[in-house]
Amino acid sequence: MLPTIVRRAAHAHQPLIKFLGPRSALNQAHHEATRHPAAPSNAEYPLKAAKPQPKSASPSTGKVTTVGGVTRYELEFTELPAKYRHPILSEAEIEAVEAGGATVTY
Amino acid sequence: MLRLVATKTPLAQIAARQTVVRRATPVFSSMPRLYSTSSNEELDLVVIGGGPGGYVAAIKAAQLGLKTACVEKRGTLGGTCLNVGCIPSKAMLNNSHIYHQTQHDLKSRGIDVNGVSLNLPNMLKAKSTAVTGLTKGIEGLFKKNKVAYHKGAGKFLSANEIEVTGLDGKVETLKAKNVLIATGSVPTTFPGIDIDEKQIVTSTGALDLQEVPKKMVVIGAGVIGLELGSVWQRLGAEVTVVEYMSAVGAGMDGDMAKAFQRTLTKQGFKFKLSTKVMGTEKLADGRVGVKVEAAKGGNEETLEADVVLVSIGRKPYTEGLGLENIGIQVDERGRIPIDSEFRTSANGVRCIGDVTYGAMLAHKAEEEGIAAVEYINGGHGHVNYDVIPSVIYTHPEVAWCGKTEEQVKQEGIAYSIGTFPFAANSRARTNADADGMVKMITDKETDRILGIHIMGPNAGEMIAEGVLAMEYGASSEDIARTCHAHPTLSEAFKEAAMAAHDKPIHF
Repeated sequence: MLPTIVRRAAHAHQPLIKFLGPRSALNQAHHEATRHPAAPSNAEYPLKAAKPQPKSASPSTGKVTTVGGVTRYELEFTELPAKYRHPILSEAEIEAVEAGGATVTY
Repeated sequence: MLRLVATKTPLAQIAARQTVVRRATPVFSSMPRLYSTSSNEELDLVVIGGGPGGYVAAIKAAQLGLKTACVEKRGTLGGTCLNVGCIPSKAMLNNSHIYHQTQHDLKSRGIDVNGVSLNLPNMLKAKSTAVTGLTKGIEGLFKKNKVAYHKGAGKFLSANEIEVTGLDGKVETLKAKNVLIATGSVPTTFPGIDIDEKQIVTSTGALDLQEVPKKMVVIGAGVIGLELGSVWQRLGAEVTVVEYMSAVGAGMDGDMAKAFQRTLTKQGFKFKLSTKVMGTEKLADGRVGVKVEAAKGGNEETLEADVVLVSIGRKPYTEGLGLENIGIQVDERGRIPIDSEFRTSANGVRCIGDVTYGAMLAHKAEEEGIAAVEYINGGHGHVNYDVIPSVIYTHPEVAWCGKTEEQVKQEGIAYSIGTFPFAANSRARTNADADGMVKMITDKETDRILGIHIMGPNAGEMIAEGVLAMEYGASSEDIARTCHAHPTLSEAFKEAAMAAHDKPIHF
């Protein structure tokens, strides 16, 4: 067996730093909120409000009507928060739909 | 087949992406830059707090096209860091170091200087000049980026309504789709010790002492205590540091903490470790007595001091913010709970910096500010909490990032260590400034760097290379095989990497 130093001198160095491809592809990775990485292990998650928000905290946009004592907030479709909108399909998703998912590795 | 889009993507490219991706909707990207400060107009973002987290977030938001306002009640921007923290302390550290070096070091370098004396009022003025220049600079950046600056205290009326009580007494309400809490922290006080900021001071008072105390007692051997203790020790004070824990340096690597304590002791510091403070008392001669005893009990004594610095940490600052109005409840340490995208439990309200989880560091808050705004803008934020650097700006400086040896041991990780002393570095020897070493901790199997610890000249600058390497997931061999200029201090960094990976050349 070769001594460790000799083996180390003989090996070809492969840097650990890797380039992952075009930035445009990297930027599309989907992200979802999770527990904060620096949160203590006993921190409650998902987060819960201590008490309901005051009534003055109405939606910032849209029409407010009161029907039979019930307050209704109306929003145009375009005013919906992003999380309620249909996600924009990426090219990869479109291709996956067209190919029946056969080209996508999960 | 019916195509959903006109252009066809090569299958190879799709396969390379591997995962189904959903692009976050860029909610504000097409909005025009409207920067009216009218209280009737709804803003995209209100940032409460103009410290390093808040002001950076506000500028970034404006750069992304969000209508942004920043509320700050101090009257000047920059927060604790710029006004009463990092910046003024660095001014005092730098100038006190020059004074000390001129008095004690220049002769051996062949420079004879006579009649060296301290002009403390001018030194304090130099500090204030640095602070004023930088705070005005941020106001300039706000104007340049069209961030509306509200001088006053912000309070939540609801999740999207902020009542601002101006420093001039005028009250207005800002409406915003998003609010970012960046209210920072304040020094933790010691139960039973009243701070007067003259004789018993926090870091704020310690930066503005009007004369050099003969004797100074520092409670807490963390970053702030050791930095400000250094300032006054260099200027002539006899400094005693009392620490409850058995080591200095607020959780730094054990080897470094020992070496650091030895170096500071050589400089004239006195340390009382594993010692607890029981209280203070006013002495007959007007000075302060600090009653201490061993952490385990017994050995009571009273330390006499002209000035006592209480530097036992900082606590989140949420006073008067009206969190109760939006259902946010702070945790047992006063922090606002958040998720990985900085959301609080209140819809549309996010939080960054000292007032929430993680290290209380200006640069960590800055990173979070940018990341939070990127999330608000429908994009991605990035903060790597594993490689947030810490620096103590004493002389020599101490800097570190990643895990300590104690942590890797506790986690049961098989590791290698590489160290290199500055005494074996040609530039450090040439500069006659060779105290300290570089210590690199790597994964034994993969050689990936797990932690880097530096004590030595310019360690605070040198750690940037370590942070970059760790952020990129580098191995020690990656650094060892990277060319470093000769003769530089950074060669010590490379040699420590060589020591971790294989063997150093010069030691």
